[in-house]
Amino acid sequence: MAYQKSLIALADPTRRLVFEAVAHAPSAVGQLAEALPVSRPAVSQHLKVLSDAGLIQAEAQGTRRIYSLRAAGLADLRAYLDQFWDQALQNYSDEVDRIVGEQNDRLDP
Amino acid sequence: MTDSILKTVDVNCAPDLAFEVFVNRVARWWPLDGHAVSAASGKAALAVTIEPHVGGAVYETMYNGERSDWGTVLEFVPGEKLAMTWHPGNNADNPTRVDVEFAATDDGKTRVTLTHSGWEVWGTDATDRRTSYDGGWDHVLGTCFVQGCMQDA
Repeated sequence: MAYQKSLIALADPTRRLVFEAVAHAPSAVGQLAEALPVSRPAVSQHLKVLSDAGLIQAEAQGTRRIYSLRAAGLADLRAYLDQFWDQALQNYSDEVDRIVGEQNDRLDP
Repeated sequence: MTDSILKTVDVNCAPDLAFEVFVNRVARWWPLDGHAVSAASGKAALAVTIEPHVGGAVYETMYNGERSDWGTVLEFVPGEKLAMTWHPGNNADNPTRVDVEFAATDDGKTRVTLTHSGWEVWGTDATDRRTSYDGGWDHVLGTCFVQGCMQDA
């Protein structure tokens, strides 16, 4: 799923750096490699993962590809967190039921 | 969309037990295979721990036994309130915040209200954040996210 991919893509600190640079200003691979302590091939690889995760998008300008933030990808991330809390709290509520059930079993043998 | 995430759930016990389960049994109910730093390696976390006092650490025991800090307990009032900073997967400089309140309902249950906030902060000093590249995870979820949503609007 897109949001899971986003989280995994952003869990790598170097990739996060690349992502933040793109979020700061739309950039070409060469510009990113100059601005960051990352080699050009590594930047390309990170851009690919970020693109696959839907977090950034590329647009051809002449012979260059300019990478920029993809708003919908970030909305996915927020939506993921929203759903995550729903799931976590449902699990939590189930755990309470389990414990209360055990206590009742003990009281009513 | 920069608003806090707000969730409520009614659980079938009194506030004291609800709080106890939330804090001390967190590893039993947290989705360890999904929302954990270990997930970045495709593995499930072994545990999540909330140290039961103000200043206590909130951390994940990763699949390989290493510890990954997620936050710090800000408020700890058994049966009433838990608050913590929240920054899984990055440095602790710019955390978001999770507040959990426990209130008894008329029918003997507990209404648990969870608020995940702190996104808004990132809008105000976004320029500073964007000139430094160390904001990490919360920068992503904060500034970038806010920015993305504003583009959506």
